[in-house]
Amino acid sequence: KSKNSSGTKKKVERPKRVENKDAPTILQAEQITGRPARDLYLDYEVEVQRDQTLLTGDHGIFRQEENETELIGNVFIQRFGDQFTAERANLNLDTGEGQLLNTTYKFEETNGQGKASKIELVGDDKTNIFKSTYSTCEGVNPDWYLSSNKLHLDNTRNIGYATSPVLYFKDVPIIGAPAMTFPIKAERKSGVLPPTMGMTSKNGLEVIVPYYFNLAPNYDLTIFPNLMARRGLQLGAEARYMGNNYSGTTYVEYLPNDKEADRDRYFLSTKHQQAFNNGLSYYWDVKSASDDKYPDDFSSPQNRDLQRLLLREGGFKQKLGVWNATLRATNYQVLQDVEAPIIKPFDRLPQLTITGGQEDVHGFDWQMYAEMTRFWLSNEYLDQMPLKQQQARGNRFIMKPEISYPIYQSGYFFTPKAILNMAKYDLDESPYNVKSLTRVLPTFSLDGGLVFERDASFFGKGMTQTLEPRLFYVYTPYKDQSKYPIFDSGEPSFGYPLLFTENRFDGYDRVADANNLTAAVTTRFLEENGAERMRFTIGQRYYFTDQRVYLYNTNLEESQNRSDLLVMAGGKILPTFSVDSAFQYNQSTRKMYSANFSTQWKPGPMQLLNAEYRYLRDTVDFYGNKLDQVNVSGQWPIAKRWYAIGQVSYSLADSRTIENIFGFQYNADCWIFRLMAQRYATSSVETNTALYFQLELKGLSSIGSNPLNALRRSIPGYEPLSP
Amino acid sequence: CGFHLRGTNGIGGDQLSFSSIYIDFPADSQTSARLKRLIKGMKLTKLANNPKEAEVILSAISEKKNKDYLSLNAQGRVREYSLDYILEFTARTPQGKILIEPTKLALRRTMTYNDNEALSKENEELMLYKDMQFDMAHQLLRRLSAIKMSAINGSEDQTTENTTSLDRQPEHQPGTPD
Repeated sequence: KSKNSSGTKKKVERPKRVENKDAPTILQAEQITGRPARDLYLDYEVEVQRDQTLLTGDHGIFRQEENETELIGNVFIQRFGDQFTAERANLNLDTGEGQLLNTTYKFEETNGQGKASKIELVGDDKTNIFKSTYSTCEGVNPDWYLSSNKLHLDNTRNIGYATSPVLYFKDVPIIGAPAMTFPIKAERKSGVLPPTMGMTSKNGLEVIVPYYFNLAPNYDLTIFPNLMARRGLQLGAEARYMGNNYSGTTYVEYLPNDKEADRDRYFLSTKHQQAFNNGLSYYWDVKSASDDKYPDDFSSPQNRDLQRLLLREGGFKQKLGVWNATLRATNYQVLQDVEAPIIKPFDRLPQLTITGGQEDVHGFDWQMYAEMTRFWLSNEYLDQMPLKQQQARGNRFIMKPEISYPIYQSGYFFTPKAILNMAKYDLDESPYNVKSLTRVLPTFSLDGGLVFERDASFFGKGMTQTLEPRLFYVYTPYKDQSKYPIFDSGEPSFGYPLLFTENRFDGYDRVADANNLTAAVTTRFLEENGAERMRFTIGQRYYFTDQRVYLYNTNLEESQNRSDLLVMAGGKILPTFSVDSAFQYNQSTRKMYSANFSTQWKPGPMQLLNAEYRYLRDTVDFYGNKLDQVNVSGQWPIAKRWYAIGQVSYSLADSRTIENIFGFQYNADCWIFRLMAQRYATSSVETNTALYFQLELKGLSSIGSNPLNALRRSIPGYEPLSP
Repeated sequence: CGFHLRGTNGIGGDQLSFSSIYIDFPADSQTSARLKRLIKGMKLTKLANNPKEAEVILSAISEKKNKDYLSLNAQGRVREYSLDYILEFTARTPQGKILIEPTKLALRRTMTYNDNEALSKENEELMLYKDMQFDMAHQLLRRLSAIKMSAINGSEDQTTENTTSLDRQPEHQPGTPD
């Protein structure tokens, strides 16, 4: 949501292509003969001028009745900033109609220029150009030009239509067609987007020619026909729309009769949301793919929405005062990778959630979370559950009221809080032979901290340094939950937020027994305007009693009296250099459980280097999900007009490339060349290699997506290359 | 070592230097709810219901959440997500004098991920966004603390309560640049 109250952008208004017909016409020549009010014969250094029109030439006739000029020899015409030269020409100053022979032209607004055997000016906005070249490059030797039998340019509709066009690049003909259209101005306008050609190890040669339909200011459609040599013609389409109270995007890829797989292949992603004035809203978010192998064959770094677990979700939301109700249904499609199978998550068919809360009711804050869910999974998937994770399907009812009394001051805060966890399960059939389960557990917590400050200096700059010790105590009594199912609970990533939550499990199927205290200290360096420059945190949780509640009764032998130690540091050491790091260390096993250290150097626009190390130890995971990798990425202007981008992700644990990308862009005055090479893993055994290139001829294709910009996801801090 | 409890030092960026604020954020913004709670709880400054009655207007220009993969495992599957929360805000007086130029604040949390835990990760994501919204509210409060109204108004008198905006407007408008 963006609310822009001021600063509406004003486009610079161009003078309209209208000539003041009452302006005087000035004729000059070394010799003028004829009768006033009739035809005038002009000879030598002829110049005819009126308002926005200027004609010069060697000899000419001016017909006053028609207001028409005819010129022969070294003709030069300038009208509304457009310029023409010709051997002979005539122009009617009133209608803008005229004809030029053996001519060159240059249009001011579009910078379209070239030569032609004949130009017909059909009024002030339409032009027919015969046996011509057309280019947006300057000079007599353009890098690219379009030659055509007839070129029709329509300024009002912003369209060029060429008959028998042949496109030359560096004087080499690269493509010909019976006819083509192109937008003549750089506006969001329907037209062909720069085509991309590529070679991929999965699909062979690929040619993508996207077409953009600018249907209205608030909705558009892009189609991406992609001809794959080994598979066939894939059609992609993306529709986007936005209204006052609704918005959405739908993306479809469809490949009829894939020659390699011998079947139709598709992928669909659609999102929509709409809100009504009465507080009611609805939404959907649905993804679907034709088969398990789809990500192997078609996923790419540009297309990461395509994962192996595809969510389908839809629901209604209603607001009523302090209450919010959501009724939704969710389901996942699993695109299995046989080598590393995914356990299908439960469907929620449906889930009704009611939340509410108020703040500062006589100093108290209260919150209520209530939820009723039918968790469903077919027998086939239930049977696939791993041995110790056997599950039942069933209904779950949760009610979780919370009340707290926060005290905030600028130097300290203190929040006592009480929570009541209530759950009721009705199971179809359970591996533990229980059908009905209830659980009521209270939780009490105290959260408090102090904030100290002092003046400090940070890399020679005066700053405020804070020191913020914080303590958090939780008590929840123990209850054996080993026979309770696990629908949506798990162990969250270890991190600062987790140290300060009451339940060390997320979801609602496990309420952790707790009698523990978290202690953490943060220190920040603040600039004069309050901006946080740097932050260091160290924290740990101490258990006064052993933890006895586990997810899948997988009692870890490392029962400890304290949690892993968390150490974090992050911020901008220098304005151009920032670091971010976090470490999770277990003192009793003396092992690092997770570590990441990343640095970013951004000395200027389009200049960026990232280097990162990430480590995650395998914990209770079944399929080997250790992470031990190095990522290096960046973008850099390597020479004048040359921009390079690249990314390397390498898994040290598997000695395997995860994603390597290299691309560059050459930005000439009237064209851009882009090249992108990629190699990435698509499943546990498969890798795809792809090479794409694209030649964008400025002024011939619509303004559209730049394939290199799709890499922003892989390169943190990436700035789009213009345009 | 020079540390003192914030708020005990008298001078410095401890307190808000203005008596009322209007928070112009989308109605369902958790960050603004948290910030309002902090300001209310500290009894520092009045929360105005109307921008004209406030001495300072804090506005959200844009509020964005982003979820992108951070690392892939050797199978090319997402192993960690980075959750980003980006807020662009500005602060001004009702007369239009800019107190804080439009500023972007970006927070990020990483979330380990595994397709087998999709449902629990949905809950974790909510928790991490909530944590970032709390973090953001504190960052905003520190930015607000850095506003020195006395330096802007030239005189403390004008920060008294119940000065109607109508009275002040003619005095200030000629002097405000822009």
